[in-house]
Amino acid sequence: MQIEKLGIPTVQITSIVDVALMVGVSRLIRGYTITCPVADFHLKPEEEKIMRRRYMKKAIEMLQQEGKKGSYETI
Amino acid sequence: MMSDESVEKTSENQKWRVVCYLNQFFGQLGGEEKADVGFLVKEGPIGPALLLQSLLKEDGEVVATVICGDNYIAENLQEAVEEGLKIIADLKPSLFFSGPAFNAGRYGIACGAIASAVQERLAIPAITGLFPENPGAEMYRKNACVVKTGINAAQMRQALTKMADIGRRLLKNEPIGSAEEEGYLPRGSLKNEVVDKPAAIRGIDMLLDKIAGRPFRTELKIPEFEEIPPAPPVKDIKTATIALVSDGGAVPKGNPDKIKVSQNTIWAPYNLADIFANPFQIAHSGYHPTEVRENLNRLLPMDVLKEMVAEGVFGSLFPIFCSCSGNTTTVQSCKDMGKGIAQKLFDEGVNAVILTST
Repeated sequence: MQIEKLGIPTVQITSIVDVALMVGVSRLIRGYTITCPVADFHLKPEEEKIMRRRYMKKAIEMLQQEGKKGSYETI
Repeated sequence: MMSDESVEKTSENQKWRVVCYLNQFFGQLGGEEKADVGFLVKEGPIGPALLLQSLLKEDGEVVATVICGDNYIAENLQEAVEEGLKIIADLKPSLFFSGPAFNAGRYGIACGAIASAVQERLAIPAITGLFPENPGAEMYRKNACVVKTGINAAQMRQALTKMADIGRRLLKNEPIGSAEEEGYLPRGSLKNEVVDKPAAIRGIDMLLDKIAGRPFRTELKIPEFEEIPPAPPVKDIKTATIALVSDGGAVPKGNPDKIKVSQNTIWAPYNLADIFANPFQIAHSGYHPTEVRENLNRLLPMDVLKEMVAEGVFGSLFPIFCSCSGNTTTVQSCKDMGKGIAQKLFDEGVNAVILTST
């Protein structure tokens, strides 16, 4: 939020979306798990990397869109 | 009265059935390595519930302790609360306690969510204990009794004493005073009181006290989170510089800037390539770091971001990432660290940020 205050759009990725929503984050992606926000570590390494890429692709999309408080994306 | 629900009185010789909820740590299953454990029920009081039992004395019997891992609940809150609610309903308590969780974020959310569900859906008095800055406090203070506690378990006895006292009085349908008098967080309901001075005079008196620098007490507390409008979108992603920020606590081996594993106040910028190339550690005691230690890309997805730069998806990946740890961090510390990080990135001309949180 402090970063956004200076005009830098920020996407947060966290599995505990409730706190982010409460604070007012406007570009929010639900993280996969607490210990592994951008990947499912049970996958094979190549598949895990593809999943990480999906998170980053979504984040980059959201950075180009208007922020929307009160909602989040799920991969 | 805090609660309109009346609790059926049993015979004088019978103790009230009490159920407690604890996380994996206070439930004595283990630390972060057990945070994924699902619900289980142990007979009688476990851990802090033993102290609660001694405080309740003859008024209540802790018949069961329900235990669940912090991650199990936090990662799937709605479904997990439903599961927990069913377990608690089957135990047929007259009174329910969760925590206290002090400033532990996931645990506080779990305690608040379950206490709220028990209070609202089972109409059973439910009490938890949270540090006022715990995210669970603001989320659930209107739905269940959230007793104000200190920041950590050093104040366990004080917290449980207050919780037990309120619990006992709720069971006996004794009146509970205001949040300020009793030491719980405001429920958000207004109770009419007759006072001598009319509101206009009270308002002027308050203003005069404020101007003169004398202490005054607001009658209506305004919520504290600053309203910050979303930053505008990135104009041209092909030329944009994106920086990574994380509160997962990744630091060079040796933790040179002494980022604290909990209640942290320090952030530091580190070279992204260096932290991948050299030994690192996780300065964060609020999550189990095994997966991130195996592959740091799981917290800082540098590998895929570098590929995307090479493919022209966006301009460049800022070579520095900003690191801190977000475990029982106070709101003020979060703000201060955020301001520091924001200024650094702003001064360096960063156009956008991806923030990963554990």
